Amino acid sequence: MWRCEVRAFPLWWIGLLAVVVGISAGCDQGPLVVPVEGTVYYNDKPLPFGSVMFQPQMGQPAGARIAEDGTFKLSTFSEYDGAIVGQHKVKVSCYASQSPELAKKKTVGEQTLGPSLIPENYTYSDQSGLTADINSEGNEPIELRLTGPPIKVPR
Amino acid sequence: MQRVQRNKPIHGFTLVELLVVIAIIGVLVALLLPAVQAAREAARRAQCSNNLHQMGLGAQNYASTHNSLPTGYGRTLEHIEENVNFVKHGLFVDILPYMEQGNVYDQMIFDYYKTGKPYFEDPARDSVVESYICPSWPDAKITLSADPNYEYQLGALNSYTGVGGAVRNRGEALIASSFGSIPDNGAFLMEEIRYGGGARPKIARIGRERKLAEIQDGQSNTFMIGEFVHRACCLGQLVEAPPGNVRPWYVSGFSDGPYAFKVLETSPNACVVRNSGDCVTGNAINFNYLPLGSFHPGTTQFVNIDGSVHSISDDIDIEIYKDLATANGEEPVNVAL
Repeated sequence: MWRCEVRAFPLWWIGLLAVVVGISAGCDQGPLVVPVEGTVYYNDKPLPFGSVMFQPQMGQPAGARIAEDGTFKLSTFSEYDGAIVGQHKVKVSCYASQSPELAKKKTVGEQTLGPSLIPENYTYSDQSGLTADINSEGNEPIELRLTGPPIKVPR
Repeated sequence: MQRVQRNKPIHGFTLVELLVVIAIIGVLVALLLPAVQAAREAARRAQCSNNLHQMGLGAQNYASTHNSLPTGYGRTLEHIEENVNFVKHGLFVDILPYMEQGNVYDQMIFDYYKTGKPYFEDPARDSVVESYICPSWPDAKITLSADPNYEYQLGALNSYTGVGGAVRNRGEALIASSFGSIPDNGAFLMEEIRYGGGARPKIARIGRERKLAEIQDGQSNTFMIGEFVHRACCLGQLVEAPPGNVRPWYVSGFSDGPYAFKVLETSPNACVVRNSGDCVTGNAINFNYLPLGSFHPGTTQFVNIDGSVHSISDDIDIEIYKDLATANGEEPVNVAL
């Protein structure tokens, strides 16, 4: 009888250890991130280049490059993992240096992004007026609709 | 031949005993080493916080003489008319005499453009000001070589930056800069002046001193200087060689872009790049909006205008963070720091 108890003890101990390790490993995973994609329209046409940034209320912002058809797919901690769940303020950047023609140009010295080709207020998270509520149970593609004067890429 | 007969067995450790002892020592070292590293980092952080305190006192000393904070970026109309790109006067240079570093300040050549010498041939360039480099900075304190056209990287580095407010939507003016417009609500700011007269006066953007009377949110509620160590970061990995976007202390800015202060736009320690092409996250962050941050785990330290130093968590509410950046946001700041 005594012998039996001694043998049972390590098994029980190992089980507890496994649970503790499991819980602490789970805690280290950080905030919940869910996939998010969408499209940026400028004057009802897809915005052909630029970038979007989703700033959550706290922590690491998510971002993506805008593809030629205006679509984007957010990444935060790994490729295309999405954005942190919760409220985000969204900003859209479309600078001259992001245009395919000018992106290849080599410049020297202190780098500037060049002039904003869309109204400047869209490039600030507090002035863009764009927000997104990222839901833990999957999200519809996000549509961002911007308006402004036609885009002219400087040479 | 004579053989030694052993009647008594020699007492010693068996191999298993030795291995067990080594294993126990190994486990103890493995347990202790992270604690030792953490204690060392805590000491470095304390030193780093002391540096901020020194700068806070320096700026307060300056303010008691001039009744205003030093100008963040001392660009003047003369620089614009003389086509001078790199300006040395600014926050970190002008407080040197007020923190017992007057001998370094006296070496500097401010009107280099009148002598025909390039800006980077400055006797004070490689002088490390210990208060301007956080001990947690893991790389060289001085950049000794740079490619042509990149000489602005040369010299003793500054791992801190002034705080130039935050872009809110509360009626603040935005002063244009080719590195991102600068709001007029921070401890450090620029202003727009018209000059030349006539029917079409020209516009110049020059540095402006923040008068103490203009700090309406209270000196204890407004960030003045914070830690800045940014280099390109993609999906949690640093992807740029040091010093990244950290610049030497003796130059305060280039053209209409200040080096000596930043506008708070993203969370502290946010992992971002400057050029869309460098990362799948595609952030295009203007130079003036690069996030502040540090090499301490999870926190970044700031000194407020009153000289008090605070540790700000990376997970601070972004609204509070931006409120703290503004000197006259008229927001009800009610934060337990």
